[in-house]
Amino acid sequence: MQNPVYHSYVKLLAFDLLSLTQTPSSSSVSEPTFSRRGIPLSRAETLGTVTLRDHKPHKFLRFLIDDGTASVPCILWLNHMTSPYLARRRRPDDLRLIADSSARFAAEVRVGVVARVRGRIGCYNGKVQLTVSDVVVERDPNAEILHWLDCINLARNCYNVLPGPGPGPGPGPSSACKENQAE
Amino acid sequence: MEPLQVAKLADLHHSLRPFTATAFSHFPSTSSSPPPPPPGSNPHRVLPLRRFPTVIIGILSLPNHTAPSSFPCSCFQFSDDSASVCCDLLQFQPYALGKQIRVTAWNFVPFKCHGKSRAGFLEIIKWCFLDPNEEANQMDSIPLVPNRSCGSYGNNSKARYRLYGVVESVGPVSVVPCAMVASVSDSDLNSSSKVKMLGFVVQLMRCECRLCGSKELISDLESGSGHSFTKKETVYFCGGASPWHPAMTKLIGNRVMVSRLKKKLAFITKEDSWVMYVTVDVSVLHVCRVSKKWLPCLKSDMKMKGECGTYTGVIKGVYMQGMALELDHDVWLLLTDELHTLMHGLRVGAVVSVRNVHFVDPQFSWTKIVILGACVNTSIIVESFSPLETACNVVLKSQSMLGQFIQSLPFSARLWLLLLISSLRKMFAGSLSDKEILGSKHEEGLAQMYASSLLPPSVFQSEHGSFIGIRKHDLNCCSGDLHCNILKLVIPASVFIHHCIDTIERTLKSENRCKLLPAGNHSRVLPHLARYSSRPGRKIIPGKDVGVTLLGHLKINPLTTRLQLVDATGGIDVLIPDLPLIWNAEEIYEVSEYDIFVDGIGELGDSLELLEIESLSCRTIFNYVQPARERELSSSIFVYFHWSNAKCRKFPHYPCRDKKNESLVPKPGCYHLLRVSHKFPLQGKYSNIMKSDKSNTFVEAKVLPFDLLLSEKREILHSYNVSRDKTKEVSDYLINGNNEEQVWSNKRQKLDKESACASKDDFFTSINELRACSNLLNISKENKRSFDLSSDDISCLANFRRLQHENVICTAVVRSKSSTKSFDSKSNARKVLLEFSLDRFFTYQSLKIGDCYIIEHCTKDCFCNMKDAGFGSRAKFRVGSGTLIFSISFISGKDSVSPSADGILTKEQIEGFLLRSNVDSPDVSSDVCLYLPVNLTDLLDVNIIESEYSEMHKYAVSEESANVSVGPGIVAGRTNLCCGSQNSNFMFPEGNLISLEGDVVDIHDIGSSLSNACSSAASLDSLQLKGLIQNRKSLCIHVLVHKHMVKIFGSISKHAYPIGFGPGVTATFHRILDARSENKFMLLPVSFIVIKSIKVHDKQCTDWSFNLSLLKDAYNPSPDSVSCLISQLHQCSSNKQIMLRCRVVAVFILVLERNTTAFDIPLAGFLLDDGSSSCCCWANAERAAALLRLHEEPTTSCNLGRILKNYQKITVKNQGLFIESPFQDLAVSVTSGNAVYQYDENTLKFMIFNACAGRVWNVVASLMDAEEVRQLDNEYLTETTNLRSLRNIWANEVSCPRMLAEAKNMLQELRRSSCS
Repeated sequence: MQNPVYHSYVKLLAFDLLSLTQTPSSSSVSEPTFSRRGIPLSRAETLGTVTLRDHKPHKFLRFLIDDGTASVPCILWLNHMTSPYLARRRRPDDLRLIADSSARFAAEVRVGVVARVRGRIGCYNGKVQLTVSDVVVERDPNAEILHWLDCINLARNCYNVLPGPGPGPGPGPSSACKENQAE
Repeated sequence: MEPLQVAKLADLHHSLRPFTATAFSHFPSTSSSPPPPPPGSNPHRVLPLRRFPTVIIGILSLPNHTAPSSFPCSCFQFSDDSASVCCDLLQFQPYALGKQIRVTAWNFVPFKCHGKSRAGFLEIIKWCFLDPNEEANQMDSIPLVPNRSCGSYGNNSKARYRLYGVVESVGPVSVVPCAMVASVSDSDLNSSSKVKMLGFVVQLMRCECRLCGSKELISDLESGSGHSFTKKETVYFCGGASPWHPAMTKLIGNRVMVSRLKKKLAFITKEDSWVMYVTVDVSVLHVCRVSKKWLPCLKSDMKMKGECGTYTGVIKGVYMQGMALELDHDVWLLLTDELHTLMHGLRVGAVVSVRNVHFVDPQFSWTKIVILGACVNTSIIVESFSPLETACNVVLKSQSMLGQFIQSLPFSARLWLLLLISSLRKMFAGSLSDKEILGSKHEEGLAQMYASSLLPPSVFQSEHGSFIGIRKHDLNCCSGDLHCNILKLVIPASVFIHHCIDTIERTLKSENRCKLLPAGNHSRVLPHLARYSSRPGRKIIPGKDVGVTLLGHLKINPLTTRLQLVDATGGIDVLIPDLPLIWNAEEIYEVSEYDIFVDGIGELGDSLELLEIESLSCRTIFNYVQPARERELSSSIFVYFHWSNAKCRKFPHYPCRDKKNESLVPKPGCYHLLRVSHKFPLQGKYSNIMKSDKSNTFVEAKVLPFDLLLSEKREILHSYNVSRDKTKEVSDYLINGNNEEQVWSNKRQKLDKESACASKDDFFTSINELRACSNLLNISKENKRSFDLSSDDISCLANFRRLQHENVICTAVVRSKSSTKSFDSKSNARKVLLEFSLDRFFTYQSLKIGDCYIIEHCTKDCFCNMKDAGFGSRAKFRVGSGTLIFSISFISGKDSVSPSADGILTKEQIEGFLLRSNVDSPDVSSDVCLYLPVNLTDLLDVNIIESEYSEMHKYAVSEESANVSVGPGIVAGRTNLCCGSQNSNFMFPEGNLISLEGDVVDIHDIGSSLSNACSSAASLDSLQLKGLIQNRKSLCIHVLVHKHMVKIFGSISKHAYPIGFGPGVTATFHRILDARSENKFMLLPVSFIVIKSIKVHDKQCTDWSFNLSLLKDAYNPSPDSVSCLISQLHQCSSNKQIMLRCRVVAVFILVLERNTTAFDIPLAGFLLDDGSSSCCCWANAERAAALLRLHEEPTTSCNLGRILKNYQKITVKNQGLFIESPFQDLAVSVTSGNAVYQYDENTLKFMIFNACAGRVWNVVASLMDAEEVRQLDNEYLTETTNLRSLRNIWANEVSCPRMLAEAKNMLQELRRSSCS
């Protein structure tokens, strides 16, 4: 069985998230894997203020989430309607729905708002980056404090107490990885 | 007893009216004109009976196709010694052809036709041979070509084939060019010696048994039974046999034998050949006397997708020159050109049997009908003649482009087009001629142009001659029909209004709510036209449910001063919150996305019986005639849409095309910049104003201390193909000046050379004038090019966006009017009053408070001379027909880019702006877009805000107190209402005039108790004493502003009452009086209400949505629950309630059921995640609704209610092997067995996607035991791998977490744990 947090959206403070260990993938096609203290992770949730926004219409929206400890680079793909990869795999109606919701997320991400972002952990230019699944803008400023406490609580009571992989792959060298495409 | 008469055909021609006659006189003789039918019943009268018993004697014959003067029809002929007429008869026997018959019961329908002044159609109901022996002496065989001896073969020695079978179909008579065997050899197909041959194709179904193939067949023909007619053979009846068309049509389903046929290989095209039998002069027909007709077995599983079949029904209506016939109820027969031009007997009231017709369900969203589509194989047989006094169908084959266009469409699109044509003729009656709408032989009409713009090119079918058509039909049958969801109906405005009322009534009836509606005492407060309604009095019909596209002109109704979409039949009130300044009243606008609001349905309920038109049906649209008096109800209906949904339709025929195009683009010259600060409500009726010639429409504006100079140098960019290269070219061209005019190869000058020069001069003249009169500008710079570089000017680009499909771009200069000639100084904006002349009422209506405009500079009414003299003596400027006003918006460059020292933009900047204008701000709705360097934009903003804030400051509602206090949200003007000193003696209410924006929650009548409701009683009393507020009923408007309710009291004049105002709108109340009491404001005669938007969901949605209070009050979940992480679930005991703070990741199962009120959620399965792990959470009812976010999206609940009306139960399952949001593989299934509409499926998927991108929830749940899980799994779970290993919980409560309280608790928890 996979470890329980592998498919969960782990809540990590930005500095923690950015210092995940990257293990280069065995094949050239698949992406590198990420782990924290030897526990493999695939998804994460972060919450903070949007501090930078780089919008390429119909391509992607790149933005930074600053939670006070560091800034997490996030990428929200907006190319669902033009990607031949997706066109082969998804029905056009579904793609339209996904594209519409991504466009809505993109509109909500404005510099200065506090956003809760969930996504897959990936890397770009060797650095950790979140490929965004969804964005929720938080109106209550207390949400940020609660997120910090959640991160501490989860680290203490969950991530740090999970049994490690044993003599698994140690902290390897960070690998330069290719830019992800929207799936 | 009356004597029996023998009528002569020549005499019948003299009769003007149709009649019926019999040989019998046992009917009591009635007067020739029966009483008129009672109103509301069938409008057709019964055929009058001829006074005396009458018979006709004559010869029945086949049509004469050879005579050049013959009428182009394929009817039987009946002739006596006086004349001959077209006829049809019942109980046809082929042996009667050429014989004298005695007609004992018949109808005669006279008609006029081209060429012949008088003609008529004889319907023979009962007949017999004149010579009774003929009946017994019937010949076995009939030669197909008369006067040919059956025995003599002549030179037709090859005619040795014969065919025995059942007549299946008869094709139309047509002329086929063919290379005759007699004249050329078979191989010489390309020979030029082609003969035009008249003929028709008959398809027989042959039995392949040995008996049928033997030569002894003829003697055995009559008794033959038990044959299986399965093999299709084709016989081409040509030459002398071609008149047999009506006879063969009558014989469809009969067994016949055709002998002495030739067998031919016909080459249809060079590639395609067809083996067929061809009649020759000696061919003989033999008809079996077996009375029982052989009919192909009917398919029980008719899917209505174009299958062939037979239909028998009564003709209820003949429309569009016989191209569309309504049979029975809502079965529509669409005829081919051949059928509707060649058949006379298709009269209303006749019973017809249609053979080999295609059954199609067009799936129109607005009505449910069946289309019977006729093709080359279709035949129509009149089974019983119409007893009604209805006309014959006599039309000539259409030669117009439209006719061919119609025939090239699939059936559903064809009916849609016929409806469109019928509607367009009514909608543009008076303004467009029939020729302009229908087109001609060489020119497309409006109808064709409009239809072809909507139809995808793939729907058009190539047209064939009938010969090839039959062959193609044989090979691949008729292809499936177009799915008509894309085709929206176009109907006249009056039909639309009737349909809206009808829809509402049906809803009301079905809800049985008529009696529950409020009595509507509001209608006494306001006059009928300006009625508003409280919530139960308003109904909203989503436009997509109606399936109708609106088409018409935008005009202002002089009686109501409301904007309407009008056509020749009437007008619909429209509400466009973002109506631009420039729109052309002459253009045709098309609106397909909108919502319909019906107000005052209380009154509708009272007048249910008044309505005559049932619903939106094809019959209603074809039949619609303008009622003598328009019902007043129409004014309580309005259509709401955004300007982006109004498409301007250009039709080359339309007389007013491009008439105002020049005024869509500002001319080169000088313009003043204005910002509208207030609009004064219209005083008095618009119609009265029209009479008095005195305008009462005023707008207050501030003149900004800048002028805008537009140069004559402009280029046109087609917005569709704005690429980076093109923009670069334009910016090069615009920056480098005239000497590089040839840079852009395909550019075209907006103005021709001459006018360009003239305008150039005008431009500089106007600049000089401006300088002269303002004395603010630097006159020293005479060099025409150098002013661009002056320090008080800033160059920029202006983009005129109002033209469709193209952007006009020109260089512009913003010039400061400040005395220091620099942009840094803050000069005050001056206040002016714009008075609009009557012909500029449009402009008054379109101006928006707070928006910026440019107004043309002219010497006569020069702004520059105006002095701002405060409140009392404000400068007045009259906006007449010649004054051009355009709305303007500003777009700035990137933050990092600043203009060069001389204020000129770099090429890159311009390129950037142009790209941005097309990519980032496609929704900018202003007429002119100005691209400025960022610092200037800031300056403009500062100036606008400065001018604003020199008088205003901000107000808001704080979370802590319900009082309205200072903060963002409400903008208040400090303008004091009191005219006297500050120490007034409370004779008038005092306070600030403020602007307030919020959601109108309720409006109610407060009667004469205004003073009780308002705390400042003294002031109000005094107002009443002064007579300013008359002792009349007033309104109280409850407005939700930032979660706090405020009340606005006062009475609105009906002229100031905005259309659509009522609960559910978001509105801005400008210049209302802050009555200096808690959350209470007053409407004044100067107050102006602007509707920002309307919530498009009505009361029903709130019925459907679940109890909201559940969520609001559920911040404190059950105290006996234990908060934990999902990863800790395995440590929890099963009898305790646990509380998780988590989010929805996926929905793996969702079951929705229809119930009495709306719908229910019996079960839903969610994948929850809190960062530590995931779990399966099962929920139902309100818990499921909360997790699906139905409370947050009332429109979704609304849509769900609508969807579940069609399906009893819906199940959505996640079918993927692996669940990952957002790429969930969802499958939707329904119990009713129907297929789920794609639109409905998408709505459901949208809801699920939405649920997976929601907030954090507190879920109080109990752990499920293994048995419970197993039961649910068996029933609902699919093979999704990542669910199997997860813990299962059942949700008992769902609530929103209180962030602060939770954070405090958690902090204590963490402290405690770190201490321990």
